[in-house]
Amino acid sequence: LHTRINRALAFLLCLEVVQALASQPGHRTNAFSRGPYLQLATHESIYIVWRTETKMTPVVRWGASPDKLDRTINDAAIITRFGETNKGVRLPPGVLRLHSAPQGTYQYEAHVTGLRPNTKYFYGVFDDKTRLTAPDESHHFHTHPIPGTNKPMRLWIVGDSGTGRETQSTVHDAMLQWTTSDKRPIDFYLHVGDMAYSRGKDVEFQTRFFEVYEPTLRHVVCWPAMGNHEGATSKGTNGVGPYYDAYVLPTRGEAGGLASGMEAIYSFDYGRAHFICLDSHDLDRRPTAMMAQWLKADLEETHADWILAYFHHPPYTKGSHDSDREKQLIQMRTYIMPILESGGVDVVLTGHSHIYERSMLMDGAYTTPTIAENVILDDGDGDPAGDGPYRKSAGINPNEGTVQVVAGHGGTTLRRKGTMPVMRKIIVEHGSVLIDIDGDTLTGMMINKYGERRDLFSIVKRGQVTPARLANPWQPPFWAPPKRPDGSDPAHEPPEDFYVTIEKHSPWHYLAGEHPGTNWMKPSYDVSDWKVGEAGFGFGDNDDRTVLSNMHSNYTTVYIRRNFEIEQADQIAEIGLMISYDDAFIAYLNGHEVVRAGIKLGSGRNARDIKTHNAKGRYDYFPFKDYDKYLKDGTNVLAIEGHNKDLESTDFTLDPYLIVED
Amino acid sequence: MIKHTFIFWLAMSVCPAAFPHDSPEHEIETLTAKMAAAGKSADLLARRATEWRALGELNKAADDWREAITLEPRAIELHSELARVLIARGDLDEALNAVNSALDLPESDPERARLWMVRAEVHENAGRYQQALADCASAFGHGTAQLDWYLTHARLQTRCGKYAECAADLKAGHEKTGSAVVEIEWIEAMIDAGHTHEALARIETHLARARWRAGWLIRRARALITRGDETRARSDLHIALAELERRLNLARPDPTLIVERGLALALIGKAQAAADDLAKAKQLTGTTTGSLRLERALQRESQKRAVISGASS
Repeated sequence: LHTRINRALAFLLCLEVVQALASQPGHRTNAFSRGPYLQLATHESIYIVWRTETKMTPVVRWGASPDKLDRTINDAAIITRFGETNKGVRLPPGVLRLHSAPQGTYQYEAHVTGLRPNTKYFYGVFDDKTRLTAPDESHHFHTHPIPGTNKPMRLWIVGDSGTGRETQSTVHDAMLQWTTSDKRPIDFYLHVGDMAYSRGKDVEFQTRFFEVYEPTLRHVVCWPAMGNHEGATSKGTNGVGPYYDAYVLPTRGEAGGLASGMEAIYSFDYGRAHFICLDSHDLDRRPTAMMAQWLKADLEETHADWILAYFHHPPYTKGSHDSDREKQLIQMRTYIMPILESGGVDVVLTGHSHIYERSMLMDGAYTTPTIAENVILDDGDGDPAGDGPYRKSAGINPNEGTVQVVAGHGGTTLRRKGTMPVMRKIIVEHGSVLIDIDGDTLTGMMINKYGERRDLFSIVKRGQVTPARLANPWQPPFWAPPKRPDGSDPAHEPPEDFYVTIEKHSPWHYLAGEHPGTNWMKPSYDVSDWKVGEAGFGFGDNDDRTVLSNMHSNYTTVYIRRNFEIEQADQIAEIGLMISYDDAFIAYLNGHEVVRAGIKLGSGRNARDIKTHNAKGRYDYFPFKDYDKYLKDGTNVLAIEGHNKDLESTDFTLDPYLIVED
Repeated sequence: MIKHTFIFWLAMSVCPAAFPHDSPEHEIETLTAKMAAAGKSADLLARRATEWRALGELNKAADDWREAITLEPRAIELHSELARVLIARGDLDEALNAVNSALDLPESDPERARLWMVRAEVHENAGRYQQALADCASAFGHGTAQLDWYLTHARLQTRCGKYAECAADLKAGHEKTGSAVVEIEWIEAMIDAGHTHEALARIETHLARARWRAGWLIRRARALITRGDETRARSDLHIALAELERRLNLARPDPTLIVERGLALALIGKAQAAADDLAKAKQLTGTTTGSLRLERALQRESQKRAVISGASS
């Protein structure tokens, strides 16, 4: 506890210093609509990227201290991109188009070159002579060491974080707290995808990635892998979309490794380690296709001591996704993993599955379903203070074992489906991963959102090790999602951080004993002649505020409606009903069905195949599907039809309230 | 057309769901319920088809794509996706029909180019290499080529014996894209075309910096054989084979290494072992598209044996 308090105090002190520096006079701090942030660092260059809503005369100055920025790159050498939504408009010469940024957005990309390796520089962004960035120490960058140099490094890995929810920030803060406490900041970070829910739109990148991580992004490069949610609006095959607007990534081996010819896949070197990013989402994953061919060629040329690969879809998981059943995951396992392992990869970092899973030292697990027998090379926990580190031969050697890390626990709702038998640690907690590489030792840690280390493993590469396959390795205990007492599947879990937008027992308009017109759920429908009553509605089980005493034997359906207000609908991460119900219901948001429970077919008077459900005084959670299509700023309408199975049912309950997570 | 593109864009958001935690099964359940309640739409069917495909349920995916097409017959990508599923299922005639029925729909060159590439894929799978090459060439003429297209195009040119053209096109492709994979194919094509001087220069550069050298040694051996230097070629091939044996996990082999080993074996005359590797690679990958040069080396070896056998008899 003492250590944790010290870490928290150190972290708060650090934050205060940064805030105090940021508030110094003499500069404009509100000029940026994004950034500045760092991209594509090498041992001799780096990109500094930022956005503004107005045109400026971009200048970047850098130097050895914040008040001695004695080198300059100006307008002519800075790439300008412009958000012009009308594709027919021709942009001025030299100005490139942003694919999907808001109209009028300017993005500037300053390629700072001629730098010394492994050196800390401070920088400032200027509009001509006016300094836009605070003259503080937070705006700095480190160049990479010369590839091949033995330099200790620390990297941060986070995945599936882009919700904009408090949890995302908490996970980020926990990492900052940890690294501040042990005085070892991160050198760079890998995001393994799903950084901008739910469709990777430009505004989602802004609010769920750049704004959340801004304090880190201004002095640390994020090397990203595209997730399926970014893939909703960005395409790896042609490098177009908000993801590709946001990032400056290698295409011609600028940061080490082989030229891929596209930003979707790339590699880079840092010291004695080689990092490989693949696009598991929308590139052809077959071994004959370009991605696999590039991977093989890239692996064959690297002379690093460590190889770490990262991409979105995990080859092994039973978190919110199942690698025994889903094509992308199966293909990454059967097509890509053999190339990685014969190329000598040490660690594979992925996300997609909303859980933390970390494997034993393993090799050659390509079959479906995945089994642990004869693919585990060391079934210990990898903890230096426990079963001891995993051991491999010095350098890069084929098929000596890989540790798989699924880090899809960076901010969104967690899930577990079952047990992946090759995993040593399965932790359903929010968090992220830190990896330290120092000489012949790699150490991985999972830091949860409370700043606690929940997993620790090491790989030591020393001497000559002859791997042996374990015929009967340790395996994690069997686990299956708990069923409800009646044998049905468990309900959805409500989000962790939510506010209530329609309170429990709020008044609703309701119609009982007759059916309304077919458009009754639409906002334009007039319900002024309906009665008003407090939720819940029902009879027979003493849990109702508006008792429908004539319902039994007379009618089975009750309709309720209520308006609610939403601000900044595009910031909503999740919205759903908490509802106690008996027997079934359908909910509509602004006239569109968003939840259906217990009614197989039809609606209203035509509802069919209604299942019995007992409320039991319990509120179940139902997230709204496709809410982002229907939810709007201002007044919204929630309409619910509640159904009893038949006229003879002895009770009825319809008791909803509405929660929102932003 | 904007509407159709939009529908596809929604459908192809292989993140099919608004919610991050939805698995394909959940999503299929939800989409099915939604269709039961609100009726079917091309968007919903396409999204469900994508989920079926993710689960490997190709028949169900094809059924949903087909039904989506009946609702939105002018949505080009629905036809393309149906064709791709049918190719994967081996229904090449129906796949061809699916593409052909969409060929009048595109209003832009890039859309047309993508359809031609799908048709090239159908023809290639059916062994109609000339037709596949013609479609591929049309695609290149009308759209910004994706990197994978260069590989397909080169493979088809090689199948059709157009070695010099292949080398020239890949050279241009490499200059344009910088892709290392395109460069490797270009070097292979130069060897096929007999342009061994430039090929060898590039091979030496790569050999000098490669950690794993087998692939480059085999390429150098192919070039040396073309130049008649069998002795040096055999030396390279033996070194390559030794390295490959070290890299191959024989119980669970990387199929790309199996193909390389097969090619090295074929080039030193071990035809049966090479044929075994070809069969193994096909078994592991379900295709022979990555083993074209191994196939051709085996054919040449077979022809050589036939000539020797004829001469001795």
